[in-house]
Amino acid sequence: MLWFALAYVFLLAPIVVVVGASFSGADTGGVVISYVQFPPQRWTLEWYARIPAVQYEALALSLVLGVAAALAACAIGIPAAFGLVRGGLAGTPLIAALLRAPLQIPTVVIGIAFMQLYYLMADYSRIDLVGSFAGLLIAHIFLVTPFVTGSVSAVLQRFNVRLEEAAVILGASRWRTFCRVTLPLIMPGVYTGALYAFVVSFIDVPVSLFLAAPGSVTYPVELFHSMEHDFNPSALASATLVTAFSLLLLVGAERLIGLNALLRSGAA
Amino acid sequence: MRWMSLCLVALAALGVTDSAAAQGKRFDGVTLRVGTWGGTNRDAQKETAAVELEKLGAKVDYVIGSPQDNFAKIIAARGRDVPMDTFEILGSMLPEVLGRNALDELNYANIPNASALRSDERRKHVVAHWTTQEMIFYNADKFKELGLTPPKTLTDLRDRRLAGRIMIPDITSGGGIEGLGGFALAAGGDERNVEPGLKLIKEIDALKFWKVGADVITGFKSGDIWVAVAHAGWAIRTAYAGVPVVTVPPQYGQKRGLVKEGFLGVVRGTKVKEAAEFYVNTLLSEDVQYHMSIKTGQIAVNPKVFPRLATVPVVKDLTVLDSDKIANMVRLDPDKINLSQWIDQWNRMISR
Repeated sequence: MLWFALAYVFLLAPIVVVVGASFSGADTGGVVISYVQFPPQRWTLEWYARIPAVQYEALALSLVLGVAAALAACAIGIPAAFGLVRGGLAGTPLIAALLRAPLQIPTVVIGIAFMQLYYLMADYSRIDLVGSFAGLLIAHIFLVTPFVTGSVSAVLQRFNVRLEEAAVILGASRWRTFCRVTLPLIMPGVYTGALYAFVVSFIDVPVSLFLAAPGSVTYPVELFHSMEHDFNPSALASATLVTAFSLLLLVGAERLIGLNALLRSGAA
Repeated sequence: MRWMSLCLVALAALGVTDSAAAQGKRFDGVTLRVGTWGGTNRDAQKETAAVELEKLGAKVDYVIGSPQDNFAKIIAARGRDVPMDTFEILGSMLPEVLGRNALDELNYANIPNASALRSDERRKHVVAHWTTQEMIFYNADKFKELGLTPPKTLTDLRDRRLAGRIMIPDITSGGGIEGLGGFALAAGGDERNVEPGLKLIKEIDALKFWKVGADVITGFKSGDIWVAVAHAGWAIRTAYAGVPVVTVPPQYGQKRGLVKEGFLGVVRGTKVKEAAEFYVNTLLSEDVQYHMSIKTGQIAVNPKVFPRLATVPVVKDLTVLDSDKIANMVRLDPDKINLSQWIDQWNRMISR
């Protein structure tokens, strides 16, 4: 047990460093210094005040993109999971492998491939998705849909079909059975898949790197570039805010939706 | 008569206003897309050069990415609308960028500020707009305390008393090419033969490698590092962080110091070439060059800025601000660099 606790502390240590260093002040005569100072010599909120507006804009874009990608992935991934598990299609393993393919392609390649595809589309049609939000969203949907398909498929494979049969015998229509019996029981898989889809979209760098519009980049791309060329502790401050926001979101989800209860019901 | 004079003054004033308004509309409706790094680099350009263009009605968008990433986007868009109008190019990328015919010829009539630059910095397709001075820098207090002799060349880093206290750029870092190139030259090799440099690196005990420049400051600040090889901008930031560092431009035969050059080019096929050249010209102006040097740690290429930079004590102490000395610094020949071979050799000899 102690080893598990120590391993967990070790894994969480980088977050502690990020949070601690974001409050670290140094006497540099007003010059912005570029290094991580942990533990802080002097506690300050100055890096929080210095978070550039562009990081907030990038964060807003990433949140919208992540939510839209997760919703779209659910709209595509849930029917796909039903098709895989219950469709009785010939070559189901092959189709399942194809649907998982985005997970096996390096994300940089996905970024470049979509960019080329959009250029080709622009050449042969009036649809120009290069550097557009729609173009970025489509690529993210491609990237995250396997997470929803996979998690919903896993729940469906354990699903007790007698519950649906009972509902039908008792006079419920197929649609009512789906809405009142099937959907509530697969919700743990949907929530899990949607959460993964959101997170994968939110933290993606390689795809967004190639597809983001000039002047508007996603949050991780903004952070990546601000650290690649320089290292300003305000990046740590904004990362701390995002971490705090994520924790609040998870606690809120637990309180409002009861994720644990849902997960337990899915496992039963 | 008095009335007539007043009328003339009023007319003249109207004329000035008219001409200002006309000038103000010069780039109305134009959107210029500039490919550059994110972070401080983009922010400094946004605060200076972009403001000047926006005064004339244009909108400036930044396509952020490393020069290699941005070049990949240009190549992917080949034959179609260009994804950016002007972009940063590293000296080491020039053969590839020029070989692929990705740039328009520059019209220097639109870039008058370039006249202050040396002729080798004003080329047909690209113009230099910053350099970094690759230095050895060390903690002066620590050297004094231990009675160590300050290094003059990269070969001096073999001193066993410095074991475990030296940090040099990893081949994959921003200073990787100049780092290995410098070691190769110091050890008697050159761009085509970096093996002597790799052997020299191997001879330095318990060497540490930096991936991003901030590692250097963290190393100095924690006391783990006493000497580093990095560009002078990192020495300046280390000094601001409170470490008493001194820089030494390493000796390479008859030359002292090594510079890395950053260029700008206008992408072939841009529809806003005039605005792009205006932007390039603004980046070369004295005010913007000064501002960029202070903000980013890169050194201006416009020598008219040097006296002003010399008024900043840390910059004066840690960089070379003498045009002749800068001209005499080593510049690696990108035509002779086979980067994939360098990385391969590095992986076999150093990373293992």
